[in-house]
Amino acid sequence: MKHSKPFGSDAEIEDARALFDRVMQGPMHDQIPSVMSTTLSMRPDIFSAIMAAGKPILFEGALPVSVKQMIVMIIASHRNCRFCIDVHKAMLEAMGIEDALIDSCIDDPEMKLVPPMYRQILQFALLVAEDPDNIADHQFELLRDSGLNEEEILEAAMVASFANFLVTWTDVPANLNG
Amino acid sequence: MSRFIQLGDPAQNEMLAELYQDMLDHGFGDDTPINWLTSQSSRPDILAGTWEFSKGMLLRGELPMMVKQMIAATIAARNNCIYCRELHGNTLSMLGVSEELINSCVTDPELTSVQQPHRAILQFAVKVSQSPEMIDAEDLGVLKAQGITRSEVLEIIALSAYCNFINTWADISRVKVENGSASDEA
Repeated sequence: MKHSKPFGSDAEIEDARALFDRVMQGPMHDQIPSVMSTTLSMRPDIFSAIMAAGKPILFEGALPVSVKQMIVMIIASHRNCRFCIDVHKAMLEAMGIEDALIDSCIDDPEMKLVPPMYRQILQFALLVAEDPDNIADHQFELLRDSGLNEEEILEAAMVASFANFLVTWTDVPANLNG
Repeated sequence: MSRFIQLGDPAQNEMLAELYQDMLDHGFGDDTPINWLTSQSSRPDILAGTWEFSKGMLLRGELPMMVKQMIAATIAARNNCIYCRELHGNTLSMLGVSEELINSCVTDPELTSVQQPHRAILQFAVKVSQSPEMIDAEDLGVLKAQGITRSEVLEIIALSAYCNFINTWADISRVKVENGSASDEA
């Protein structure tokens, strides 16, 4: 897949994991859900297992990291997972993605400001997250027609699947610290 | 066939060969790893991550393996994921769990045949999976009254969310149930 503005390319982004750590320690620090912070402190084994999957799925691979962040953000938006929306929005902002484009993903059902290929990926990812059992082969054909190869399609499906973990896990609001 | 390439023979890729061997050593397959895993075989880098995640959720931790598998089977049934329901139901059978108990997990919303504290754990896990935003102090109180520790609660939450992940992947990849049961083509 050819990278194009305004999403930028991974080459322009410093180490994505380092960027994530900076976002979490900076603007998102006060919003980290209790389930996440408590798991990190009480059950680092669980946290480590989650990160083992999160690193290759969200921060590495064939698709640009910005597209992966956008996939998680848009799924979080549809699931109304406030923390996930905010953290992945903050990641996109830190990558230099324009506010209008981010807002188009979240607020505009037609995502008019999103370039067609990326819009296709995001629409596919939403279907994966919300109704994976009923996705027709036609949806895969649309991605291939848009120029995505099998590796990228697998990644898009995997990011969307993993987003279903993230939005479930971080949406537990109960205070687990006490 | 899965929607994604499933490599039966990993000989051409050293990383994949090591992963497959580790999966088989941990009982996740007979001659080849289970389809959920091999459906990611074209991307050993991703498979390595999801395998570590799976080991952390299903094989390690504080909850007994039977309880973990009960959670996985129950949530799979609620998510209507036939592959995962069959896989974890069969695993429960291999662990010696009665058919009555397994059926209660996967068909009975009231979990009538499930004894405490397992029923409370499963009800909590289903709520995390379906409506995580609704979890409150009262839910935590129910588990505490059943002797479930805070550390175990964290494990149940992570495992329940993990089940949403594995169910989604099983559905989108259209992996076939192992050993070709009747639900294979469902």
